[in-house]
Amino acid sequence: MKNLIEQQSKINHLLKRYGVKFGIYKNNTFHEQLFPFDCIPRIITKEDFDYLNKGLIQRVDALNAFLDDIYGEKRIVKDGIIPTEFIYSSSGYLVECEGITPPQHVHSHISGIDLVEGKDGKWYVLEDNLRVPSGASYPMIARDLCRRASPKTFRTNDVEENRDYAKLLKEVMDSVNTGGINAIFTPGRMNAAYFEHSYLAEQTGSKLVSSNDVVVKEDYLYFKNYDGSLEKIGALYRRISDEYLDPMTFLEESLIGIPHLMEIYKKGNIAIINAPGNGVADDKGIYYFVPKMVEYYLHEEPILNNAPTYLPYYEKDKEYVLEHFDDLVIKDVAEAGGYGVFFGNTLSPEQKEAFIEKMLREPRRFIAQEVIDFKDLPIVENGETVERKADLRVFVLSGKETKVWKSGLTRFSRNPDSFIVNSSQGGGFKDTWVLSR
Amino acid sequence: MKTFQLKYTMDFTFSDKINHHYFTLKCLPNTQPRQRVLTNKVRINADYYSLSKDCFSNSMIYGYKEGEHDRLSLYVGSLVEVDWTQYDTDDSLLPVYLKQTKFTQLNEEMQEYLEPFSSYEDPYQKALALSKALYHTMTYQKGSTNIKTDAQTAFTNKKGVCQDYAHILIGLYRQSEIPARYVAGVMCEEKYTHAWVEFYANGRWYGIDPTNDLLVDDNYVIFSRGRDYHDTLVNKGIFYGMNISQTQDIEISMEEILYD
Amino acid sequence: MGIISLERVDNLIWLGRYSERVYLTIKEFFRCYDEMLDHPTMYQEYCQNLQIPMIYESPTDFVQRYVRDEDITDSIIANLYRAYDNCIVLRNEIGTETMTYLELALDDLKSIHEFDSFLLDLQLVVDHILAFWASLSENVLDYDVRDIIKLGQRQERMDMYLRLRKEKKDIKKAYDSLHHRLNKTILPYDLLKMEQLKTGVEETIIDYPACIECVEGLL
Repeated sequence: MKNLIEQQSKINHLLKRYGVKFGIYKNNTFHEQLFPFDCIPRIITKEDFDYLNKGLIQRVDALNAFLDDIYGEKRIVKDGIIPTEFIYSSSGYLVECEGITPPQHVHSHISGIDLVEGKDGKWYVLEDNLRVPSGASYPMIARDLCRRASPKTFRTNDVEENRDYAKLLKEVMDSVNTGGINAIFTPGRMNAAYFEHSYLAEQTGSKLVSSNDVVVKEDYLYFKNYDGSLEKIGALYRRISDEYLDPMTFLEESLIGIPHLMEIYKKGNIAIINAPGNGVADDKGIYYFVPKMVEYYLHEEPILNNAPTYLPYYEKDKEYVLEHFDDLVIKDVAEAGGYGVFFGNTLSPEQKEAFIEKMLREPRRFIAQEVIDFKDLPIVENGETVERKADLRVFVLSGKETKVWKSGLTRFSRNPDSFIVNSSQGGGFKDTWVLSR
Repeated sequence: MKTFQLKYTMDFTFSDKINHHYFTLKCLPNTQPRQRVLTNKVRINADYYSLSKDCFSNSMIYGYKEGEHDRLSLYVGSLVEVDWTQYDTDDSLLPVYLKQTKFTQLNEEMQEYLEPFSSYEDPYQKALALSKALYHTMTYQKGSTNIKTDAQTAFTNKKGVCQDYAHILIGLYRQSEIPARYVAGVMCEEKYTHAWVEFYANGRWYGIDPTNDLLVDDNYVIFSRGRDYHDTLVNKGIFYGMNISQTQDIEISMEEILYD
Repeated sequence: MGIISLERVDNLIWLGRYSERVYLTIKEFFRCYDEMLDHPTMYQEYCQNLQIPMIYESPTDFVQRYVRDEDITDSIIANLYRAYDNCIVLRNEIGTETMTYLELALDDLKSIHEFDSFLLDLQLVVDHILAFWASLSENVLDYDVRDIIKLGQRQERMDMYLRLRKEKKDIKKAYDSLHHRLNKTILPYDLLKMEQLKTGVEETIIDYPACIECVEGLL
């Protein structure tokens, strides 16, 4: 490990050489910047991983069952497990997806589950990301470079391989493909994760496409070759959000979408990865109900813990939130990317009063959670080792079966006092080791 | 029960050449509890077209025309049997039909308008009373609104066309917790598409036409329904072209077929 | 054979053109820089030859800004950025491994901040461009991709040679290799312009502007 840390600058040099970047908008102009990498890996013991593995498969299977139910029979609502308004007032619920069954009934093919390890050694799920979770390419390429820079480290540690992510992803695409090539659909170069889109396309042998490269014809999607011939696409891993996907169904002004994609999808002539409409299942308000989904659909005890969560929607929870307001973290379910999150104790009395009034008016819009004392992870900064907050995004892939990638994206906060580890707010990343022994 | 021969022709003319033209058209009646389509004929001058259904079970024609053109023509001929003695009890999307959209959202004046009706206990009676009241409050005036006008604006001006009557009434229904949907179609012997409302009470859907103060009967053929006008848009198109304006000429004929 | 979209074909051509342009201009710049040691105003002629705006105030100003100022359209770095922008969207076609060499070339150029003895640093840019091309030939298996990039390179070379009023035998060679590349791809090109170019370069007194116009309008 010491050797690996000594190679930090060499590794960062290699990352630069490989163009490992993400895009960011500053003052309305697009910049690409390196994603800062810290050499000290997060290490997950075999024992911990076995536990997480079981829990994550269970959780994602339940979420997929939920999505299939919501856009179909809605048994979970009829049986009173989830109140109606939590479904229909969610901005992620898309009526346009009603009645659509995706190939193999898989809705969330790539699920990014955000976890934190508490100081008590317990793991907590913070958030499910079932729309277009990003970030897998970074640890994948970082591992490759770390092994090159410090072979010694990997000779002496039993670390599970993580460069098989592309293989797992390809397996998923192949298993739902309705006939034709695999393609990754990018909004374009000016997207924050363009590096990842193009890198995953290369690594999985998929075609990287934008809206101008494809056309819906005779009920199928085709790639337009420059010689005029057409190549059928059977699986489309889209890295573009639902509302821009098909201007004929969703936002009409979307120039980056594929007109009529939804029509051929309804007919079962293409797999869209991940399925549109998944936002209803990773909504911050629905999060509360995920353990209930596990019980309802799988008839199992949930293995993973949610962070203790309260819904002001329920009378009992509302009272708790009002009593313990200063100890809780409050989240606005309508916001994403680390925004709309604040700690109860940071508000002035006036702000608090105004907020509580708002919360009582729109109880469905907010959730409150106990503050989890994260375990800090060491990073190297200016030659010294310091501790920072960090989370972990684990990638769960669902095709014929559900598998957990034996690694993940560990992000840390730049600022010593910050709890927010989102890369759009300036954090860095680490490799995540899963030990094989 | 009545049987109609419905002919719908639509000609789009563009001010200049366009290409890569994708279109979606919702003007194809389909079979449902209260209407049965015996035959449907479609003619359209595009590279290809195909049929699909949207999430509200509306039939739609979608297709593509790649090369340069300045015209798209459509003809739909349908033989439709209508029978309003049948019940439509579909309750699958009731929560969706309870949620206001930006077209149906109420303003304060509309809230106040609702107040005298709070004494109604039976949603069916309340729905009928609201429709009748609205008919007398509003004045039908062609050209007083456009396709972007919402319920609030039309209600403030007390003027509008069938689309506005429908949006306002749907807004009032939803506010009263009565699920309501927007319906687009054709009325017997009318030369234009019409819009009306369906509301859900007593476990089934009722059709009501606030513009004419009528209950919907065998003289109405349905093209499509949805949360508001936007879901029933007859024509949606995307194409390449610079500063294009388009005109559409629509001709409708709906005649009853009388069997001896 | 892989499949390539029209847009990517365009990127391949321009990647070929801009990488060649950077390579040739740096080589030309080396010559110019050497002559400037004895004739400091030589750079004015250089600009004239390349038909780029003479906006520089002094030899030092020329050296610094022509090499390194991103905001000058015809600077070496601006051209390298254009090559890079075309390259970055071609990961699918040319692969990460090959792309790293252009990434390195750009980093080399960006890290030049001192202009007293920077020719060796500039040489690194040339080295990495050459490595980039070598990697293309070694690692890119798709002949279409290679042929299209090389077509861009040859088109640019023809163009530059004409602008630089190179010797006739060099110009004829450039023509032959352009002709060869054109026939290896299935891309449509202006047959008439190619015909005019052929006779044009054969003339005793070459009408350079007319020939350049033919090259520019070829694809």
